[in-house]
Amino acid sequence: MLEWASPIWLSGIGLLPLVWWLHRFQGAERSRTVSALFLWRAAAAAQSPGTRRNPPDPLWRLRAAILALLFLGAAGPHWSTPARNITLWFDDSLSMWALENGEPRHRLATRALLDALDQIPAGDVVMRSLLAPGRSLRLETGARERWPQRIAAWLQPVTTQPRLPAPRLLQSSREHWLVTDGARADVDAWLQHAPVSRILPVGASTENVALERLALRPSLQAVDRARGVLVITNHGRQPAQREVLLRAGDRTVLHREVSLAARETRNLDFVLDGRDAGAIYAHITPPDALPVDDELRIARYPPAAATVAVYGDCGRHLRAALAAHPGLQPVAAAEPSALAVICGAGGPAAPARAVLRFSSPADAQPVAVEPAWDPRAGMLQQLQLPSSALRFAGPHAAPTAMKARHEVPLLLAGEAPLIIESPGERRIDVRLDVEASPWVRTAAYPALIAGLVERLIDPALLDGIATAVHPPGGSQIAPRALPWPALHPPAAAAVHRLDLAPYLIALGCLLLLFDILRRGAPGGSA
Amino acid sequence: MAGSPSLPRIVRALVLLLALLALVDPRWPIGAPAGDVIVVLDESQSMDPAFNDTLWTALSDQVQKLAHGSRFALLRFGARPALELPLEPVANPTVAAALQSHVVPRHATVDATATDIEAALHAALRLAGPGRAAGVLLVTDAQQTRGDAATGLSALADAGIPVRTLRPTRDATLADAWIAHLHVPAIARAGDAVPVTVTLDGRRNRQGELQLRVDGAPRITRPVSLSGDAPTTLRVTLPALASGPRHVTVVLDMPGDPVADNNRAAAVVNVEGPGHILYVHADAAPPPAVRSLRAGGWTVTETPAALLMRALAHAEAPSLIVLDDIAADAMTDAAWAQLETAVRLHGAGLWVLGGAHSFGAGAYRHSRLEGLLPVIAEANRPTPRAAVLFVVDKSGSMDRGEDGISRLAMARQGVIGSASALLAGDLVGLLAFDATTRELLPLDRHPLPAQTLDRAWRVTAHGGTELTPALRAAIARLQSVDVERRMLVVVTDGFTKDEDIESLAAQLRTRAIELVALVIGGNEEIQALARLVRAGDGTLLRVHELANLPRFMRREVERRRKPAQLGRHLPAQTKPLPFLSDVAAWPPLSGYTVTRPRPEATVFLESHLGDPLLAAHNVGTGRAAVLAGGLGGWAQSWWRWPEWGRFIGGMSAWLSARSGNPRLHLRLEQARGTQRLVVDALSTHGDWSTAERGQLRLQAVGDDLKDYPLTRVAPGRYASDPLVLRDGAYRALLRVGDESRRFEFAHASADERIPAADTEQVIAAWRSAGWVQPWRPGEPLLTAQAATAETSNSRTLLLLLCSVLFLGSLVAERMRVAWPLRGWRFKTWPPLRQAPRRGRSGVNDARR
Repeated sequence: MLEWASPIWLSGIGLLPLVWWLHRFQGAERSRTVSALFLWRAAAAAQSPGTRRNPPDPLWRLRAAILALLFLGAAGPHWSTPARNITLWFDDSLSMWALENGEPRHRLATRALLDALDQIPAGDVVMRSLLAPGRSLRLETGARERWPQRIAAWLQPVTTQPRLPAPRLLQSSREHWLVTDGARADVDAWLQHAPVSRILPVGASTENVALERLALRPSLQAVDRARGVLVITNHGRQPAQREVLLRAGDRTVLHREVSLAARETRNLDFVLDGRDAGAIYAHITPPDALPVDDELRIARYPPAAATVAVYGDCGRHLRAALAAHPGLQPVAAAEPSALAVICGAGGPAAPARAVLRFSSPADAQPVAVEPAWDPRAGMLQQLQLPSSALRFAGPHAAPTAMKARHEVPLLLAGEAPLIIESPGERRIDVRLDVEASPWVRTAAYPALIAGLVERLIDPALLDGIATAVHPPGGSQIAPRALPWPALHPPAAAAVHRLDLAPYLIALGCLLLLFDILRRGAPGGSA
Repeated sequence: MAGSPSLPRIVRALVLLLALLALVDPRWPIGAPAGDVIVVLDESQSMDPAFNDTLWTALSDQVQKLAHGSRFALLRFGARPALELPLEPVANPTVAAALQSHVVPRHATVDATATDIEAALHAALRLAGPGRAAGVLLVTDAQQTRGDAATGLSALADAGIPVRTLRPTRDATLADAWIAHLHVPAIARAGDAVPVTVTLDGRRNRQGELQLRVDGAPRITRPVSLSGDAPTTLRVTLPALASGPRHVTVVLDMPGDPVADNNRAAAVVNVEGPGHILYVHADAAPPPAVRSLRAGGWTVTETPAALLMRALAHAEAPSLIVLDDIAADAMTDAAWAQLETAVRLHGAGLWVLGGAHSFGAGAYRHSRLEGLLPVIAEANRPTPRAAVLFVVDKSGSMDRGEDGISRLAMARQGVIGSASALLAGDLVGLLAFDATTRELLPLDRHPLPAQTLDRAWRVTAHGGTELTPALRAAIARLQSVDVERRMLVVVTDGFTKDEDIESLAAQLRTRAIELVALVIGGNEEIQALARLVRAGDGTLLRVHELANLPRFMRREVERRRKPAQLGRHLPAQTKPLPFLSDVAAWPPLSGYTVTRPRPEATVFLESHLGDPLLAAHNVGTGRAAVLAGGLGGWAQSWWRWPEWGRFIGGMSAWLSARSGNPRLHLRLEQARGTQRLVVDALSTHGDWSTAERGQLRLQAVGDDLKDYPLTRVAPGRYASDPLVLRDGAYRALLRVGDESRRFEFAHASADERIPAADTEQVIAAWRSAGWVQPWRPGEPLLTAQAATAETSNSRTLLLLLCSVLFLGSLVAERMRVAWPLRGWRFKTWPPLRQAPRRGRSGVNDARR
């Protein structure tokens, strides 16, 4: 249906007779050069040039058309269709992957969505992730039959740091629909402010038991043992019973039937022994509405130690401290390693992700001032390093130069930096003679080495904790009895419109160009 | 080409250009922009309030210049955003009034101890509704201590909301010096020196003085010299500190320092050492338990019950309070309240020892003390029903009293208080007598005996005293009911001798009626009454101080209704004690007080009758235990028990609030302005704890106690959800399974008080990311970018202009309008004096 944005300007068409009238005047004819004026005496002299009343110049039609097109364009014509521009906010939380009679909720939701779209003349349809609003999918009007496949390919559960879109992001020029199972509590609060005009609820299942966490840690009582805990929660509203199976490689470590009251969480403790290296896999049966949280896997246990290569003339105490570190695996100097420990000058012969360098103790001097840790040293601050036990092995570094290189003096004695960290390069320079003092035989020495190593590589090396988790919020699948807020009516601007003005203006421009360039035009080509 | 262009042709070319422009449809603002302006104002400690107030005036001018329909909101923020002025039209009276003020409106409470720009920006984003132009003015020094402003700015950019920033200048702090960092070990051993590291910083070379205080008392003062180039780090060693939490404060005294707030820093060191026990008893000599504890290295302070309040106020905070056979009425309500505070809030342990004066006999039932205990001071099994008949003298002499309170009134109080100590199923009745006897409440079972007695008490004191008829009537009534125990409680201030004592005594004896007689005042003629009491297996109590009457009466009734279980009893272990799991046989007791355990209590020892002998539970931040047989006369065989030392020392250590516990290791992780407590816990067997969960109890000074659950995230590892702690000192109690650890710590958002060096770079980074533009007072608040939604569609205007010009060109063409500018000419209508352009040899132009 043809509509006008500013129909008042159609009244400008009333000026077309003026164009006709103006073209009755012939003053606009072009001049011709003649040899002598007297030769044209017989010609009827103009009574008053430019004011003759002759039949209108046929050009008036062209000019009238141009003027009409300009006024029509100004009136804002557009072809309005009943189609609506819709943004579909699709709840892509994990609960939408819960099964309803064997079919995932998101598929049911897609079907309901397509049915709803079939019932209305949809224009521009864009699907956007509710929990990661940056992800979107435009559904082309001409390829409706491919929508289910495209939606299925696009959908993926969002589990990390979900953030609902700011209501302002819901453009007022579009209609906004929400597809959700209502399992998330924050969606309800979001709806209070978001201008959503339609909600497509999906899902009815409430019962789900989830394996929430599988964690392993080396036992303190036996070196070759690990203690483990498997956390299982009944997120449903009814008591549930599950068979829990935990396997380490091919061996069954835990096989137990667990009865859980509604909302109950149970920790199942188990012990792995030296035979149980490899993948650790836990799952519960029978499967329930959300199969994805019925299993957990740790790819490898115990986790691989970080490789360390030692270069230069490192002393026996340092080598002993590195060898005693349970999270480190010494490798030959030529092999790539996670950590290169270098004593003296020179660099690693093979690539290393991090470097721990100890200055040569050749010119070491006693430390005269009590050293103090920088606050950025973190847990290292707990180590008390007496000045009497330390020897500064240089070189000195000016504070300004260190600042320029983004270096952090972790340990300072007066103005002399004893330990410097370069976080960007993953490097720590220790300017201490770490071999010469009786202090190296105290517990603080391996603690210092371990602390420095952990600043450079994985800080959980000593813990040896391996964990696999399902975020607890995602396993809550029961649709809430949402007090749906009053839905916003769809915005009037959301109707799909075809603006005709550009076409009229383009045509007008062409005619105008023709008028300017036509032969015989005043000042134009002759 | 026919020479220079004509006017109509030029105009039409212009029309063509304009039409093409209309095709593109550019937008431009029309008039003053209207939209929503949200001012996000940093009011944290690092900001100068005077700067914000000065800014407010300039801001008001700009806000009032906004176009009609514009709206305005003010968000003040520190640690959290607070909506000071909701988004309302500028013309709104509230907004208008606020804008006319010379200072920033500050009605909403802002926590100024931290800066979370990200949260404030997200609040502004939520405030800006869809469909309207909006702009945010962020006034901040960019010294954020929580969150990441980049996230908020990015979200605003995504939402199309331009942000302009204003950063205050820092001239006032040029001469500032501050304590950049204070490090004190969280834990130290008693007797060891405590190293303290202080990092000082400042903007100029300065001389000053640094003072270290422990618990408010100056300990070390040292001159300091600051260089304006780099921080100065000092290491100071505090001499050995006494055990317990010690608050270390460092104060930097720098003459002429313009900002004093950042010259002070505080931390807490928990000095671990043997605990301090407050032992409350009524014996003249130290009880055996005290001697044993002292021999074991404990510091024990003995105090009588009456002086407990003073001891709690003056002594070092006890780690354990022992009540050795103390009655509930032995201390005032205020003293009990103070003890409750020590246990519930400060984590002191409480160990209550049974005896002849405690629990049922000590009026524990429904007392404040009972609320702390793991047991209730009544039997666990059905007790024989009793009939208790109160016989009250209402003669004229009972109207006398002390301090305006009559004897009769105190008797009423005693009767009602005693009735509340009766057990369910007991019968109760009330007789009043003068010369005659009147039944005020028939002897029967009353569901709420105290209230019923209170309602039935309709007597005034007058008349003579005739006790014998009253006793006869009472005996008759007690005789008529079918119960296992009969008790007669008589309150009188006089006695006549012409009574038939012997027959009354015989009736009391044969009917097994227990007589409790309370004689008020100094009446010496009580021999006859004493004979009756003896006959009735009773008690005669002389009440010289009227105020003691209710207490005496209730204690006696309770003692009789809730007696101790006397005789030899061998304790049976129901659960191993955490500190003593290998006991083969427990020594016998010669008696214990009868109680029943609370559902949440853990019973470690019980009698063959199922009564708890040793029970414990957690109460508030403390732990309370009850030893029903006590450690006195009923437990003499325990003193010779080989495990006596291990038991009493282990029990004291287990109950004591300990600052150190080698089986609990904790650390506080900082992330984005929040704190997360991570605990590694060991079991008593030396491997990782398998406790299901843990608990952290935190109490800030002057704040309520808050519980935070600790979730088990791996074997032996427990973690809290992220916490947001305010600045200040905290008392904390950590519990994982049976292990507990008490500690104190100080949390300070130090960055808030200390001028950050890189805030300019922070804002420059925001600007280079395209998130913000600078704003200066006097500039419009809404940028053209912000006001885009309020711009006009230009196409219509351009097309109308095209139409007018096009018509004009036609008029010019057809009506021979001359070119108005000098120096231009029309080829069509040349000036008369002008020579033809191409006319050679006198050839003229002519019009056809």
